[in-house]
Amino acid sequence: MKKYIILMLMAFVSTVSLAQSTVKGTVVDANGEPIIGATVQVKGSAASGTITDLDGNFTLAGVPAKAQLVVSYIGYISETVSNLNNPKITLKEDSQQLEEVVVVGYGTQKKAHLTGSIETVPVDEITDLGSSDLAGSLRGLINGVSIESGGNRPGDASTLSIRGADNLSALGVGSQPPLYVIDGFILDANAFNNLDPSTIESISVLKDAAAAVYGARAANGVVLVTTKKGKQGAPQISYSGTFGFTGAVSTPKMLDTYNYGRLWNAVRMADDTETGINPRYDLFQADELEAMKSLNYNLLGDHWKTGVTHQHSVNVSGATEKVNYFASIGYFNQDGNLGKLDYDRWNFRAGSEVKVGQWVKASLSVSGDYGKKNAPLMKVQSSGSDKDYLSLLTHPGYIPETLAGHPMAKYGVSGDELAANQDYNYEYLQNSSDYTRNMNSNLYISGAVDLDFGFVEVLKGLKARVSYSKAISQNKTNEFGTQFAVYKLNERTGSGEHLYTALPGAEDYYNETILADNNFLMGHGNAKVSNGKDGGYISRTMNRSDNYQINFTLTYARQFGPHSINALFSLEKSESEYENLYGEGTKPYEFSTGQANSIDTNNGGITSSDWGRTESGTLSYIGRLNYNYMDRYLLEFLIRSDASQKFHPRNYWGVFPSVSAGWIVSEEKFMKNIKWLDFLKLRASFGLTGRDNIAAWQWMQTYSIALDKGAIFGDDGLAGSHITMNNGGRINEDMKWDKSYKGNIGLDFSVLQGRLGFNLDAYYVWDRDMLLAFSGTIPTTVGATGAPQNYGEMNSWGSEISVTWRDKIGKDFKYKVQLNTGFSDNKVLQAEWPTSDYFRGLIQGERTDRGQWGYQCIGMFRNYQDIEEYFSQYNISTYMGLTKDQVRPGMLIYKDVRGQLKADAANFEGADKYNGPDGIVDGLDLVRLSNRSNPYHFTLNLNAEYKDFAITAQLGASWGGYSFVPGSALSPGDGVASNNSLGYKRLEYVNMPSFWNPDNMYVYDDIYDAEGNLLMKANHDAHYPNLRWTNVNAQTSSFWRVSGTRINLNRVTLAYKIPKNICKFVGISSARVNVTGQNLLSLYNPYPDNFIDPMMSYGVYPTLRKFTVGLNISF
Amino acid sequence: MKRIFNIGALLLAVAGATVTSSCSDKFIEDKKNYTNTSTEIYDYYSGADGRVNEIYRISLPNIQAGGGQIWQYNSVGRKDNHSQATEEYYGFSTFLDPNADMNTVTGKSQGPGYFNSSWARIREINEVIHGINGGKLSQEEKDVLLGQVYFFRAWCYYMMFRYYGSVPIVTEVQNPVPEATTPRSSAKEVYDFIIKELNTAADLLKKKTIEGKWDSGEWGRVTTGTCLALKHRVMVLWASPLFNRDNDESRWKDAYETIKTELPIIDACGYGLAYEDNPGVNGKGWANMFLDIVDNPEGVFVSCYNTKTPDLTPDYQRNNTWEQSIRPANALGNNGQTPSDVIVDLFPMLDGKRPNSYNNYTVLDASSKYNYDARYPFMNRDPRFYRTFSFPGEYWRFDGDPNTGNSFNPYIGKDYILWNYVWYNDPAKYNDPTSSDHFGADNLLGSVHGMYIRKFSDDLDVRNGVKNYNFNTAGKNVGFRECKTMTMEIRYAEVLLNYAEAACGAGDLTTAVEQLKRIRKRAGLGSGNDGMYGIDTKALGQKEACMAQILYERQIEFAYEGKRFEDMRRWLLFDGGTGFASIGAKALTGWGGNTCTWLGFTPYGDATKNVRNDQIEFRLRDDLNYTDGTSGRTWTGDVTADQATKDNTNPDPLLKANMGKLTRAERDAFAVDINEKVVTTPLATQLENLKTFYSTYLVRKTLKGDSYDSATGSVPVYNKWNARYYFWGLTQGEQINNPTLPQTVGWEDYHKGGSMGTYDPLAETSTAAE
Repeated sequence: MKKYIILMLMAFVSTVSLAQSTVKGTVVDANGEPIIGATVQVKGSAASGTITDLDGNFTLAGVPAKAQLVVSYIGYISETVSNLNNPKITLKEDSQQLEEVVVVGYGTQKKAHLTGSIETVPVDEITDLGSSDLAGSLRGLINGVSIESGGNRPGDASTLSIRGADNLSALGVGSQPPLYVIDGFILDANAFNNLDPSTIESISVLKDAAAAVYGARAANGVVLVTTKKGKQGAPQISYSGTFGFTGAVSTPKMLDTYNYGRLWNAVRMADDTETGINPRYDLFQADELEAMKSLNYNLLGDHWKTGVTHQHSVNVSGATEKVNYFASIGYFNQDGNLGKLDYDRWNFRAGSEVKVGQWVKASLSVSGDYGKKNAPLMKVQSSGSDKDYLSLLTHPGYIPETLAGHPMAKYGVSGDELAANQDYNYEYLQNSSDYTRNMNSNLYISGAVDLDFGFVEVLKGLKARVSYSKAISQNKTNEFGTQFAVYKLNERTGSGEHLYTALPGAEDYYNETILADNNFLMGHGNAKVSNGKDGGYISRTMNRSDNYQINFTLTYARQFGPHSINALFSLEKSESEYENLYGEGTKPYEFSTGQANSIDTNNGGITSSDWGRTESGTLSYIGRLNYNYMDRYLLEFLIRSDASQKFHPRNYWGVFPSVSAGWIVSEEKFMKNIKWLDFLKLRASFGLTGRDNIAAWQWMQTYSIALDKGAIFGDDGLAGSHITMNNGGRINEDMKWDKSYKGNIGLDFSVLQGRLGFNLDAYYVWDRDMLLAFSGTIPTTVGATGAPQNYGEMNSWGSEISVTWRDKIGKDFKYKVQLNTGFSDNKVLQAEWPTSDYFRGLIQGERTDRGQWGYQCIGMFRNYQDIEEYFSQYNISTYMGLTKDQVRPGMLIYKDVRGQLKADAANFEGADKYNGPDGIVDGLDLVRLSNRSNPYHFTLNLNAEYKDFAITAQLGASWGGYSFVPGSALSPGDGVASNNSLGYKRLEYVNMPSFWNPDNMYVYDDIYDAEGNLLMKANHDAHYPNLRWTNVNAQTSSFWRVSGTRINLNRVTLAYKIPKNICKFVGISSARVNVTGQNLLSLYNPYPDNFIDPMMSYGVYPTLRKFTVGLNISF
Repeated sequence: MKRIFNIGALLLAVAGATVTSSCSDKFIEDKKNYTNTSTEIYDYYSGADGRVNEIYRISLPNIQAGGGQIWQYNSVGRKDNHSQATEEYYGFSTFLDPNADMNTVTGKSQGPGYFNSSWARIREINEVIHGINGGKLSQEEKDVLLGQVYFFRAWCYYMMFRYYGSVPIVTEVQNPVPEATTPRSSAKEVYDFIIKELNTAADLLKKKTIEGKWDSGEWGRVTTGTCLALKHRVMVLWASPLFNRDNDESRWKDAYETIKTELPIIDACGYGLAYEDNPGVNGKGWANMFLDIVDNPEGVFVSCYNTKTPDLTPDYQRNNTWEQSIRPANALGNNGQTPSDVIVDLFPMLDGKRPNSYNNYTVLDASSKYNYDARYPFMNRDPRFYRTFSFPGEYWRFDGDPNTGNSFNPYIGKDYILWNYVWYNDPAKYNDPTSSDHFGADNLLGSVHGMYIRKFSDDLDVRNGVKNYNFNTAGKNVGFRECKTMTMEIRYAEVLLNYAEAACGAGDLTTAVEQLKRIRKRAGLGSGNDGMYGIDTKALGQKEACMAQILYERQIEFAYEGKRFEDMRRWLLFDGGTGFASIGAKALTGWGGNTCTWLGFTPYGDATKNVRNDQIEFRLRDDLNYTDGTSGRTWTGDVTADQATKDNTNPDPLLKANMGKLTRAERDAFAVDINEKVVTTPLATQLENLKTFYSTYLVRKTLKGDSYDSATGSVPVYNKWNARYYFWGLTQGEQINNPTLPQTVGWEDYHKGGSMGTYDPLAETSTAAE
């Protein structure tokens, strides 16, 4: 861990000596290697100092005789030396890092003096990852913080949630992002994710009542980021860059074309009672199947490519005693793996701090980023744009994407269009002129002036600071969608006319007749397909937000003998505004310039526009008092008062106090004898935090202007405008922020000379007055249904355990193993209770995660006898909506476990509200198939160094719950719910995962083609039910249940520090190369036929495995 | 050092400025919600008016809401549960269904859920009142806007008042929290509240609508006259037996004096009896009265519509779909609406007397000089009969061509004759009332009805070619869908009839009869030898006769206007008011304890009286021995052929082309024209001619209307009313939502295990939770 050691300049006044001399010396580490850039200062005189050169040597002139020198370097314990005679100073590594300083919000604190639960992030581990997703980079590194992936496409960002805040969503609380504070400026997740990791000095996470310093916005925890500043010493220029490749963690295994054809036949013929099946045209014929053996259009394979990503940043920094500066420019680029997707981002940051005199300091910084994302527009008939992957993955292998220059629709056996998705032609859309282009830029400016009142004796220790920060964000998206034609063949090949390719020996006929222009008909009902909106569209979205924050802060820090006092008062004011503008035109000309002037208005093209504005403001007072006695007894009291315009003026202000205390037991005299114990601290905190991330103005009556459908006056008047109350006037003037009381006790200790460290935290959170939708009984005489009210109550608790072992083996091998684990749980006390499906909905006193529910599978109907027996044995009247004569062999059998609601259901809870089995198997018969999602987990972070080599690895594991074969793999669902009228017919254009091997699937009867060739044999002993009956078989059930256990090797970094002498030879001060792999391996795959990797989901853009090579050079 | 101090001073100055500027949270209050508009809309007339327009939108009676359960809306006369509970339509309403008792329990046959659905509107109204009062408009502007909104608050409370008797009164915008309960106010309190609101509204609107006037483009907005007219309706309701069980005469007098005083104010707003001095031929003026829109003096409280096409953006369309719903299929209408046999048979005769076969209102003499023959119901009827119904052989012209070369529809609109006689292809079904396996003439075929409702129809020649609809031959708005005819919730005739009723109740029978005469004169009835326009002279001396005459008149004048159900409830015509005791409600002591007896009216919901409603149709006589047409219901020819060729493929067995008796031209010569030909051929002559056609070729058949016994399907069952239906109970859902409100007497109380509620809305004190 790279942490920062501050100089503890004591207020000693050194005796002035007339004799001065020049001191030369060397600074080395424990291994005798020179330390470059170590700071050497005369004690008591910050004005005179220098840094060591490439050989660790320094020369300091004008050193008074008898002066002491203080030598310090990041990561090492500072040394004070009195010997000025050519000293060779050996700095020891600061393994305990007790002097480490942690950013705690409105200031810093020594880690040893922390009383709250505050985690810091090993920043240097994330700089190697070369990722645009900062939140995602933190996965597994912070105990008690969970990271939810936001997708794997370039530019997608993960979301971060602290101590299970995301569980609140079960109660209907909106999103629960933590508060992000970057260099003291409260910003959003987007600003956080856009940071260039190489410019980050530290990240700390406030998990408990320590967050109360952020008051009404602190209940979801706080993430604090500080960026780098120049450090005293010679100017430093460093470069860090990564270059990497991304590929899918795995590609789902799909059926080959031959087996797809057989699967179709087996599914088509699954219903032995169905009549009117044409054995020639409705089934793949033997000759066709034979041909399909060699037909495997693998569109995903064709279009998927290895992505290239690279990132570069150059930092310039340095400091003299008067000025420090830091400047950085960074560039990130990631190609898509699919299509012409392309995302890049520029980052810059420049800051300087100037000491105007001994007591005044001014600082200024500018930073920002500029991102661009371009992609083809891929929305067929107003579907989402993310259909590309699924469409390619499930493309049946016998249908070409393009034939003789014609984009082909995916029309299957019937040759009909069943759904618009069949018109999705990836290649055409990729190469068309349609686009979606996004640009995003953020600019941050901040300045501050610091005044130290040290020049007035009585005010010693008092400092004042005024800071101002401003952020300007702009975002713009242009889209252009046109119409295009897809084609089908009038006549196809094969004896059943199902194929698109030449049969052996019939190539001439194929080329002359099948590929003749007149054999191509326009698909989609002989109409063009629209990309995005009917008739095509162009649109532009632009928005801009401005916000600023002013802080006026007074701090006072003074030591009175053994009493140390640290006090803070801050006034914080912020305002923000956001404006957006949207313009759209439908039916653009094909030659559209993308501007409003190219709308085909004669053809019904309509332009429309929309714009809006929001603004907000907050005002806060923050006070904090820290007291410590003899570095042993620690006490912190803080209070914050916040005003927010989100609430009614009489509810503007909220007060959020918190108190915490710590006891460093190891500092006690009676502990000094216990040699094996290095450090022991007990701490506890309790405080109130708020959650105000609700939509503003809900307390206020607002109105909407409706232009039409009003009342009429006069002869043939227009049903014109009228003004309606929004939400039917459903407002609650009394609404406030949620209250979250957070209690935490912690224990930190290290033993065996710092080799073994423990951090243990246990917390309890009382969420009260949660603002939830209220659907309870409101007298109708009020005239409105319930507005959101502050009535939700939930308790959460948990613990976080972190064990670190660090040691050396021999002289050169150092290693560290850190195990993070913990558990968490909660119970809901008051919420908007469900009004149906009581058995699986929220229940008072139970946890939010009610587990996974599904049917209990007790077998498969393998013949009609089974159906008879099942119906009579259990007195079944309706089975999954089917009467007995509609049930078929090849369906799974589910157990009837529950009946209708009891008449006196109100007297019971949960599942007890229901009667026993009622002979109807339906949605009321779900049983709990998994108690909760994986409750147990750990992350193992390993670091090892051998000479100039270092390795870092992270292994994550979770277990204890069950998961299921994803529903989208259980029916040819086309990405849409399977239970609709299309049923199995979607299989015409959707290939299935490999475990649907027709040889393993139930087949009722032998299947013959029109020529009498046996296509498939009956198979009553198959493991899998027939895919035909998706309405029954694709339900979540115990049949599809698999272990929830996941063990993943998340990442490994191998680094090599190029030896100093080589560096010196090429004229650089240091260099480091690393190779990093991310999302490397899953060590356990529970899925049938391992058709997908557990690190990814089926049918969506896959999790990417990424290998990067990184280079860090300092000049 | 000096520099340091300078910088330090500067820093402190900046800090000081920051602190002073930041300490106040004023800048937060300055933040605005730009996503939506705020209460600032009330500072601008356009904004406040936009809110008032919303109140119109959600409160106005709306004919588009039509059909089925219409608890959310006032009945406008369509075939809904209210109108089906009257003589107007067949089909058991949930109020009269003998097979299923209406209750409050969720599930089958649950009663009206009107209660829950009213309050969102009242919330909007309260919000607008609050908003306008808090806004920065001038007092004059506020008055105009508030006047309209107060009217609608009264309107909404009146709607609940008449159904529930006693409801909570909420005038504030309450926070939606469980604690925001409001107790039921007594009926008297609700009544007083409504009257107070309407007086306030009438006052606020005086300047705009008496001294001034709404622009023609604002026609349809409420006026002082509207407020007063509604007030009069409410006062008469308060005096009616439903609320006035002891017949407290002061309520009648109160209403009478008030109306008498305020009638000139209503007139001053520009209202009056339209076409009173120009009744025209055969009720033509009366028919025209429904079709005029702007400045129609009849329209005291109206809902306007337009002819705009739907599905445009913005969607300005709001059509009156009535014209489309009543026109027959071969005019490209929506199949038409069918009247019940009862109402056809009860319309007065030409001399204004009730038909001798109609045994209701028996306090009135059945002294018509015309004998009613049910086989020829069109003979010698009140002119309003021909304007309210259509029957086989009646012209019903329109501007448009439904025979667009791709159909077998026989006429273009200006020649349109309704020939809706039917034939059966199975002799066994000729007289089977349960069989509707019939085919209608002139391409009506399977979509035929035996009689059609015609009221409010925009007849081509009533207005000399001016029309309220756009006729479309194809598309979504086929036929008469795009129609702007307005509906009138309160029209001037009601103002007069309310006056008449109040006068009658107060004992001024002469004034009452005067109003009836005005109504009848305008309807085209002759004054008769005695100058009474057919009104029984007993009405001048006998209160019950006068009241029966008024109720009968209302039934005719307002047929299909959504008024009859309320009249029947007000006057307890379902059981005469005898059932209150059995459910524990306040008993009826006035009117001899039985309004039905008092009026000579057969209790409409008394299961022992065998009251039910069926359909009439005119089928070809058995002795025609027809065989053609049995081959099926479809035409087989070429739709593009000329009409003569089409006739050859017409399956109508009456026509010569099918070995029948007549050519189309011969048949059409029998048709009756109530408008144009009346000038050259007296209506009586035309009707005699048509009667010949009927007697030669047609026979009246009763077709099942109300359902039959569900077990056998062949035994007719009869209307059955429960006394508790007069005041609605709170449904289970409404009780769950409002646990503190007591259940109305006679209805299941969900909170008390289903035992019957005991809260009588007529209790004079408000009741919080019991």
